Amino acid sequence: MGDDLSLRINRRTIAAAFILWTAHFMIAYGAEQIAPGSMAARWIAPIAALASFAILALCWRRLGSNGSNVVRLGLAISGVAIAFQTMPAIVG
Amino acid sequence: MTSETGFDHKLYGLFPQPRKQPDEGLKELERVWETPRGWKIITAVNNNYIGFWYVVTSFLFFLLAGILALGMRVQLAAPMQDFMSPDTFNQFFTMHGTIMMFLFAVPAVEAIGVMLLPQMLSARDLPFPRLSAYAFWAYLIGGLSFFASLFIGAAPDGGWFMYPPLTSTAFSPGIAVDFWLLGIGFIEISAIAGAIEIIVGVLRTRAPNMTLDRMPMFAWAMLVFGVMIIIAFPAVILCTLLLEAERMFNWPLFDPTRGGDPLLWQHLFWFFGHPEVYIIFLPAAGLMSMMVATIARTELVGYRLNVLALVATGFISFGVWAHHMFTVGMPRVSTGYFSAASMAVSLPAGIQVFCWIATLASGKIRWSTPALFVVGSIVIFVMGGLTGVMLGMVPFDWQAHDTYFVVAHLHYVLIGGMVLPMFAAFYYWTPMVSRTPLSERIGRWVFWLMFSGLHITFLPMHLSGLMGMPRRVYTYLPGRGLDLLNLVSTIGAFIFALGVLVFLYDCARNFRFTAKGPDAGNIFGGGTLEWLPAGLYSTRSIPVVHSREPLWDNPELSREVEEGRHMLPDTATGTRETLITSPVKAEPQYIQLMPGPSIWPLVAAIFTASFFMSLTVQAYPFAAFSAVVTLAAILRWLWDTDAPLAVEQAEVGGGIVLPVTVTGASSHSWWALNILMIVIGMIGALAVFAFFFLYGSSPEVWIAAPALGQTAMIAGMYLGVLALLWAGRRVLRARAGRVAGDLPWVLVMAGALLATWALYCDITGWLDAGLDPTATSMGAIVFMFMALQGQVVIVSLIMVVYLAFREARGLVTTPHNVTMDIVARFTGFVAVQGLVFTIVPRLFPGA
Amino acid sequence: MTEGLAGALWGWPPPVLDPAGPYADSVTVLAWALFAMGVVVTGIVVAALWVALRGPERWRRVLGGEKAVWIGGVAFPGVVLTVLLIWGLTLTASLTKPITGDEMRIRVTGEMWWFRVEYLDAAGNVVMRDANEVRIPVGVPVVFELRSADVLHSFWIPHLSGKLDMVPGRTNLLRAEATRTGQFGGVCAEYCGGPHALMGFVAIAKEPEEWQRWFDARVAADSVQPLAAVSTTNPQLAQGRELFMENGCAACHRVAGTQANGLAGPDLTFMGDRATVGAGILPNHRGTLTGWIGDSQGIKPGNRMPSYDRLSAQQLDAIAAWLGQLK
Repeated sequence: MGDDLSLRINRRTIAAAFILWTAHFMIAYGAEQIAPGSMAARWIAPIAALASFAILALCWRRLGSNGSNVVRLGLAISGVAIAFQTMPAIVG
Repeated sequence: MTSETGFDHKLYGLFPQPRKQPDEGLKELERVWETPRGWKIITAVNNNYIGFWYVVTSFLFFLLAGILALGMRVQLAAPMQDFMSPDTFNQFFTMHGTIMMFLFAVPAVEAIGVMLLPQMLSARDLPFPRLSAYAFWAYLIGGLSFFASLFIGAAPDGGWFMYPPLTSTAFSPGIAVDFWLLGIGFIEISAIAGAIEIIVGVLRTRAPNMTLDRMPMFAWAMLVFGVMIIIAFPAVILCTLLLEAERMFNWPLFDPTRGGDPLLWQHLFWFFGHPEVYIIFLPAAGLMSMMVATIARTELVGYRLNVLALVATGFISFGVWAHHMFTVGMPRVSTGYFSAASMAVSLPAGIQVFCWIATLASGKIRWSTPALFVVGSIVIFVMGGLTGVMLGMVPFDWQAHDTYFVVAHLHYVLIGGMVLPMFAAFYYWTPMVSRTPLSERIGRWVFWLMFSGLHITFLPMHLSGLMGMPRRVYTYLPGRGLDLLNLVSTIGAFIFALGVLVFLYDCARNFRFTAKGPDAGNIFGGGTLEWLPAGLYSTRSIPVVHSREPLWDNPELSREVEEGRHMLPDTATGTRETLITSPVKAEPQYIQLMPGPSIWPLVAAIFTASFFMSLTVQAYPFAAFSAVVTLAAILRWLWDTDAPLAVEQAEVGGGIVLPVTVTGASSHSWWALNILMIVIGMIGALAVFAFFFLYGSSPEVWIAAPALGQTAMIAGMYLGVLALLWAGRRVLRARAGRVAGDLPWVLVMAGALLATWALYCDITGWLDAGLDPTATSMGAIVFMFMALQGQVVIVSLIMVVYLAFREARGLVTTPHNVTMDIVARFTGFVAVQGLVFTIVPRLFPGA
Repeated sequence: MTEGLAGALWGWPPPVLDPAGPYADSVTVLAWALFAMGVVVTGIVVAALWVALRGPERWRRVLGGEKAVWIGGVAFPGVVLTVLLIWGLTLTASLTKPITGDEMRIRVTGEMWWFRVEYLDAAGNVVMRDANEVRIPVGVPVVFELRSADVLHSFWIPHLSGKLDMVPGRTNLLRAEATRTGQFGGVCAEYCGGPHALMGFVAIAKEPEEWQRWFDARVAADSVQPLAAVSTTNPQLAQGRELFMENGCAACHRVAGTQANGLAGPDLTFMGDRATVGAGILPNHRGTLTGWIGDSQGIKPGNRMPSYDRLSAQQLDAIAAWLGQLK
């Protein structure tokens, strides 16, 4: 039952996870478009990533102890994708 | 389980009903859904026909584009050959790519959707049958005339990606590029119409109690597919509009000497172009998921993981577009972002592949031709995916980009991810629409020829790419290690083609189309609803669904459905109808009356095509004439819909009474309109992106905006439009139970006129400020805003006139009316978009 | 360059896997690693499929649950992709180290369907012109300033570095360095219409001293003096020169020290010294040069130079002879 995709919390959490990824992508890439190569643009990505991780953690907790593992995986994939999306600003 | 709409789930327990329906009902149902006879069959709008024609047409384009590919392979079989001239070759590869992407792949999956979805969801038809018919005819006519350009030597030769400046008037002066731009623009309209149909169909016409969690995987895939089309296709529509504006009106959007930027095209094109790959792949993956379950004779392992993967892919695929642009000289960190997203998008693909493998491992395999194709596609798709990961690595891409390595990669992905699954689907679902199944024995030949042909053709191309052979070359020099590799590729291509030929032979021998049964039936033992006994009306009664594979869990289901013991047995209103259910839990909400056969969608499609063709050859008067006829035909087909109702409600079995047609947020039209507004809004949003992008590349051509007071006045006018619309709807509601009268439509009309005036003020304001659309990229993009706004303003004016006509005939009902609702909402959208287009360029501190 | 049947059959190693400089070296290593990754992962998937379809019952049970999806479809790719991404980003960073300004600079402009080459001094002035050929000293970092005169092109020398596009309205900077001498083929890798397939060039790496001698002589000849060869007493050469000037060649081509001052086509001041004819497609000798002038449209259909088929074979040969000794 906890896994049922028609449950509102499951639908909303999955959507939130990937909307968060989209937002992070737009912020990081947008900053780099506006000021290519600047330090400010490079700092925004990790800061936005930390904020995103906090929201993802919040979503995770809201699922509760018998929440859906599939939805958790959704949060995790979004988290990994956001981490990936942050590396270019940090590495090199 | 809590209810979504207030529908009591205990009522599901009433089905199946204890008693069989009398036979007269079935006759009545057959009469209502009867197809016109003789040549009038072209007026059919039923998905059984439209879907089938659609599939056949898309397959025809697959063959045509394949023949072009063979021509190219002959030319490349040996170095410096003269089999065809460079110009012909350039036209061939342009047409091959364009047709495969726009005229085969997207329409093919859409066609399979139109054909299968109503059956899988047990709906009588898709919610807008006439729109499907229009989408199909538009595609057939537009596609064939586009292909015909090859025969008059006017085929486009700028590549399917059409990069300017090669495609600008300076380097492509003829009409070939216009042919591409208008032809593709036209086919996109058809794709979007289909996507709207499919989204609404999946969300609103499912069998009762088929919650999101029980939807067939193909329906999930088509839902994601539809949403992705809605987001991605506006980008290519905008691209084609911008390039056509540059070519036709000399608006320098891509011309660097006047502040334009060729890279703007690449960003917009690939913002569409990369999601496009997933748009093609996801539905095929959905088909795979369904076939895998049947082959292994067990439920799909990780159903929900698979859904998650579809959704994740849908999102992340919009963050990878610029990996087609790693070599244009982007800043390093930017390339990193796209590289990262390209890695991330592989994760969900891995989940899907392992779901399939796990399913195969957990069940009892029954070997068949579809099974062969499914397993073969998994291998090929994985190989293509891995070279994709390689290309996602920026330094490697710098070497491999635009070489035959990429040609190999994309063919592995698209053939493994879409073409072979489609052939699997042909073999698997043929028994549903043909009196005899395709041959298992011949099918194996088809598979092995195609599978080996594919590897022989494309495996060597990885190496020819690394040998330094660029893409899109009509020949190559001898003595560079390319000769043998290319010869092998050519041989492989013919082996692959032979496989397709054998498939055609199989079809000719065994395929016998039947829309109303008896068909070959469920020979593979599938568990989903499309295998219920069905006629043109789909199933006689619509089953209440309790699991993902209802046929496996209830072997009696076919009989129950056929005896009319489930919901909406026969016809409740004596007309074509289907059951509309709620989007999440599929609770029955109302009965939708469906339009029957009509010639008007075909007329509209013919004249839409002639409109675009006349624009291409610059026959403007005839273009105007065609536009008027198209419009008249569309309005004529709409006129029958939304008529005052003979019956307000009807029983759907078990004493459950549902309303017939509703307005507002639970109406299927409301959903369709919202989706359409998202499409138009996306075009606008991308135009705003283009505005900032052009500013970023050439800020020196930006001039100061008109005075702030003027801007405030225009903004005020748009707010006034919103107020008028609000008032119009209030008046209509206040007149509940009485006639609507003139005031509601007069208020809406006043709103539309005010929006027109606001646009006029905006245009004259910029002209007075000295902005010239042909002088600079700023002028071009700002006037593009106004051109886009002009389009929606014209549509809203046509809509209010239509509304006035309906009111004059007493067709506007109170307190709610679908037409009024739609016109008011759309005009409201016009005001909001106008507000954005006014404020963005005027408040952006350019100069 | 390998010749003959063996070369046609194998042509190994491919240029991308045969690096001749630091900007290609590390990519070759990456390519091999990626190739190994691809083979291993394909192997794993095929093995898993085999187990799923034909394997022993016990193995199939292990593979047949959601756990297998979590491990095979999520965890394993997650780790592989993370490693690859970090490697890719680090490598990208090291290959795009900031330009110091001390590098040698060569401006290459893509034109339909050849490459204009201009050698720049430290201040950015053009000191010597050439076409379809770049010569660089071994061990010296070079920055190519890439531009386009018309449509999109792309500049690619697989042995030396990845490709970079030539975009109208922009200047892209490509770093390269050769660590061994040799002649390396290059091509246009972005579709540019017409005979895009036959738009190539060569990069020639020479020992620094040899290169310097060559370069100094070129600079002197290009900028200061009428070439010795321009005023000739050899009758055939004089005839060739005459024909060149009279038949409109000079309208598009420049030969320093003569009245031929056309800028639309490749600079021919050092034609005799060039490795190729027709933008990297034919070896340069009198025969190919004669053929090119007489029938360039047959060799490279659609290119911007008309075929001079109205001239006699003897006349074409004279022009080729004159051009061939311009060094």
